[in-house]
Amino acid sequence: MNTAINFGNVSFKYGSLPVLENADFTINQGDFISILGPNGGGKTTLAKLILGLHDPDSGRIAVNGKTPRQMRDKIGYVPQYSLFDPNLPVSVKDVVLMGRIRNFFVGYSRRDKDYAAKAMESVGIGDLSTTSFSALSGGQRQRVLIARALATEPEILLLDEPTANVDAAIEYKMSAMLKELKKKMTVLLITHDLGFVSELVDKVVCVNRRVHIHPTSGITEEHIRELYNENMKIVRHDIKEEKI
Amino acid sequence: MISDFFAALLNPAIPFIRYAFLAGILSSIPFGIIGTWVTIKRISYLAGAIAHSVLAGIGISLYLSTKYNLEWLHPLLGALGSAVAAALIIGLVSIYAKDREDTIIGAIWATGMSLGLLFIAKTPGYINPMTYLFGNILIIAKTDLFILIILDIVIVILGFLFYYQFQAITFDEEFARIRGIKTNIFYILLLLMTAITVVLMTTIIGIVMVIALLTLPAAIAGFFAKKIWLIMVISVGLTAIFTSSGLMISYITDLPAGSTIILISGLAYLVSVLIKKIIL
Repeated sequence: MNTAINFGNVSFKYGSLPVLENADFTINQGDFISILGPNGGGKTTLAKLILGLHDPDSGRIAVNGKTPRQMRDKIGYVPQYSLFDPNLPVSVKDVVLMGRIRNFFVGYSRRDKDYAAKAMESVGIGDLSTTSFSALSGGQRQRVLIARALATEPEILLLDEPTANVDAAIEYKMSAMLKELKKKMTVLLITHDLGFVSELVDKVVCVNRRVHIHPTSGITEEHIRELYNENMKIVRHDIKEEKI
Repeated sequence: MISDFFAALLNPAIPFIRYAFLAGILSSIPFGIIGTWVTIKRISYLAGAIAHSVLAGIGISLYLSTKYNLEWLHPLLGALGSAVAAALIIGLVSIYAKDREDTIIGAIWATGMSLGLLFIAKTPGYINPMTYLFGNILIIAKTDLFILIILDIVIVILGFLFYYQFQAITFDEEFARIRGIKTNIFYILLLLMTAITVVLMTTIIGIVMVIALLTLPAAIAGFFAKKIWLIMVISVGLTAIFTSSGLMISYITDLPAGSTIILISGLAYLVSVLIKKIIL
């Protein structure tokens, strides 16, 4: 199996504050990975290292065998929708087309528009194309950002907390959508919610300054406790009426 | 009364009113385009600092041209020079030292004005700084119109060429960078275009008030239009209407033109807020 992402002893600090220490793991192509950890544990930093927005202080990162900067246009990044100015006057189509932007070009080509249309169809927002981004619900905005990432023709999809602030029904739809995407590309999903899409996940990358990688079945209460530094119990959604 | 204004426009004996009218119309295009980006990117305080720094360039060029007889050194050129310098400094600071941005903006704002006033004070003969701070349509000459036309063309071409890139960095700068867009270069380019635009209207509106004419039309248009290009088109129209009606009213009532134009813009903004709140 080919390697999608390889971290070789990577450390990263913000100023003097260590965020990641000796992260050393490999993600295979086609894997569905959940990146899990407490807030401030370094999940988003890990994502920014993969995208080449930060450079590691030590260690080496390879994405599909190349540097993150060389490969970052093959990564479809889906940031948290809540970070956007809700009053910005752009339509859904405008946002999705941003996945096709270049430094020098005279407007979007037929091909760009086709890719954008296909991406919108694939996440079920084809009928919203001319709607203003600000008029959408949280779940719809999230799907627009996924469509924008898909319009870039990514080999790796990287989603940052896609289910933050969305309700259970949308979470369910989202997991069905991710199931489809899993067939086509490597998916990295940053989340603090282990229950979400647990059936799809091949491996879990636990990030709390140190990074561990586990197959989903190998996750134990001990791992979780170590990750969150507190006494947490696993609530298994797949087993009903369990006595705790 | 209104007919007096139109008669004045055509009267060859008083060209300044015609020049001011043409300058207003010519400026409305870059004001609509750049004002829209400044408003939706929420960088009007940056534009404010750039506008105020313009006095430094005006003061220095007035001083040098009078003292050393450099006739080619037009105050507009000085204004352009200091606006561009301010835009570069602010741009670099906001890219590389974001946490100091507001300090630097304040510093450029005030030191620019101080520098300008010092040079104006030392310039032989008497120059009233009020002329530049609050605008004076009497100082507009034919040369200004030619400079305006050239700047117009530059802004319109760049505005068309990089519309989508500006849109992308306004919406999500980080994503644009991941897509390989030179976001820092486009950001500085946008600030430079803002600098040029601000300079266009300093002679009529004045340094202190020009920022209102840059942002209010786009803010009004933003209430009613939900597409960036449409906001631009409406802003261009509004700017042209505000400057020409302001000029007309100021001529008829014998009030300062710059203040009249800004008051009309402010009033129009207030009315559109009310319309938006009550009707829509």
